[in-house]
Amino acid sequence: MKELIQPSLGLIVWTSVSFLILMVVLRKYAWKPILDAVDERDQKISQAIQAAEEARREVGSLSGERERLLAEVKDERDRIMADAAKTRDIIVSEAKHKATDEASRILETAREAIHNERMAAVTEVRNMAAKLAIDVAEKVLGNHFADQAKQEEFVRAEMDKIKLN
Amino acid sequence: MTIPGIAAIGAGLAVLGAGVGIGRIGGSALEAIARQPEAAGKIQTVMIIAAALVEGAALFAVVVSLLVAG
Amino acid sequence: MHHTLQNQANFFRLSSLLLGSKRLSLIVCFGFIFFVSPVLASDSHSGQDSSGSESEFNPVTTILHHVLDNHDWHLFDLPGHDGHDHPVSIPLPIILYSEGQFDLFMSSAFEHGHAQVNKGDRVYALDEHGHILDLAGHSVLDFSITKNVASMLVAVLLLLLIFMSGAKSYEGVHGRPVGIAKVVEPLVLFVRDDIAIPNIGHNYKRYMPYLLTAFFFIWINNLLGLIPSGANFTGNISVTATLAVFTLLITNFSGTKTYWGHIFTPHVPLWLYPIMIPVEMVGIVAKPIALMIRLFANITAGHIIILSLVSLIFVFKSLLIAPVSLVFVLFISCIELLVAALQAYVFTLLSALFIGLALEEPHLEAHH
Repeated sequence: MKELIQPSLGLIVWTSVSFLILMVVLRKYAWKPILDAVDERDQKISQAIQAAEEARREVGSLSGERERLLAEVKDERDRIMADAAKTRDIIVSEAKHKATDEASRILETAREAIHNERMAAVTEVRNMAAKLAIDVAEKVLGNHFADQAKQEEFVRAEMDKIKLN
Repeated sequence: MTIPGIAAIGAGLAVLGAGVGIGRIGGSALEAIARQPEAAGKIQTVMIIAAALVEGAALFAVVVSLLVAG
Repeated sequence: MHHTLQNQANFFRLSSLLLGSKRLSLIVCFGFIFFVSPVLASDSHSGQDSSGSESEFNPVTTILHHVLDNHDWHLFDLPGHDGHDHPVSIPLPIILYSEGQFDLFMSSAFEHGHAQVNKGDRVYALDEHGHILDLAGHSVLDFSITKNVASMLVAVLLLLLIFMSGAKSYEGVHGRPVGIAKVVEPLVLFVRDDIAIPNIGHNYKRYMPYLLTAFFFIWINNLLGLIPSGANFTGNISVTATLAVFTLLITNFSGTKTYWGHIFTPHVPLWLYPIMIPVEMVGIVAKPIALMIRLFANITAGHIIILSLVSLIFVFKSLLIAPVSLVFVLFISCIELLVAALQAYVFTLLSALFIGLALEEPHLEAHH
């Protein structure tokens, strides 16, 4: 049984040499590449997460910006619309105004013209009536009033009795 | 009684002690994990370390028995 | 007796056929064998006594032969024409250093201890333990590639193959593990995240090569030892001592002022110093010795248990005991698979723990 715990020099030497060589070789060709790859990947992942976080934040800020722009545009639109409405109102009222003016001016002119026409017509009618009357009177009273002067005096007196209008 | 016989009894006693010790460690670890399941990983590590230390002590005794038995 | 044996074998076959269910038939066979095996054992013993030609089987020598190191790799025995068993083994190179000269020959030259080898004035022979002596009286240093060394070299080759191809597979795939790296990476990360970082702390990177190499070296050697007729490499005290010395050296060479302070100026009254300092100095050595004995004893114990169970067949000289010992061997082998990984883990974990203790920073002292 003592055999079990008897060290043997050859085994110790072979084990130490092999283990050391194994450790050196594996350190260079296995542990370092594997751990470096894992580290690099971890770093990449954390970087990607960070980038994603940043992008999300940026998107958040971008959407804020968009919101702001949208609101601005809306305001602008409202303002323009309001302006347009105002302008429209002004134009419409102006046009109305102008139309009313024009209408009243035309009406006035028309009235004036009518008045003038009427006056002319009245005068003409009066003159015509006078002439007609004279003619009629001449025909009727041709003999009655031989004397021209008498006739005319009579007519004038008659005329004055006639009230037009 | 022969020397190897006594050595065998010694090895048995050492195993007895280690068995009780490791049993207690395992039992306590179980209770601890039942109480705090979220700390199971940490408890397991400490449990294995403690069990290994107890086992080491027992193995010392076994090796001494081995030496004495020749 | 022959008749009953056959009957039992028939019943055996019948019961497993009838029951169909593997588990049930196993239990029945088990119970049956337990029931009858003492009778059978005594029967066969009496039968052997009457013949008396075969030498008595000694399980202790057989087990020791399998557990200890050898100069050739013994595979199995074949019965020869002369009635004796002839060992079939792989010859291994023997390297001896004696009188300032190296001698190199194959272990087959010894013809399993029956022959001597003459090299110049040196006459080599095997003693009853399998050690090489110089019959001319010179002292001999034995650097042979023994069974253990050969097994270790196989393990080293496997480790190089597995981990270098694992590392190579990372090239050009942007650090994504492919192929064998998918297996290798979680194990490497286990050593890093569950062994190195919790016990050593932020300085862990320097110790990763040692911890990783030790972990996988011990594990794969444990596993190779579990293969039937494999070597008991990690169950050899020289091997575990070598590994423990590595841990001892690494621990003490990375010891900080605080670590040495704890040993040479412990926080105890001055009159206790003559007791405390030797105790602490013993502690330096005791920790690696515990590592050494733990690994050695665990692995050797596993091998001895398995070999003992197999020996039962030869002790009882009954084939009927074979299923029992087979089941037990299977069961213990499963446990040993676990132990193989567990002992590699414990060795590495405790090494990391000792290194972590040696790296103790002074600010921790404030807590005491």
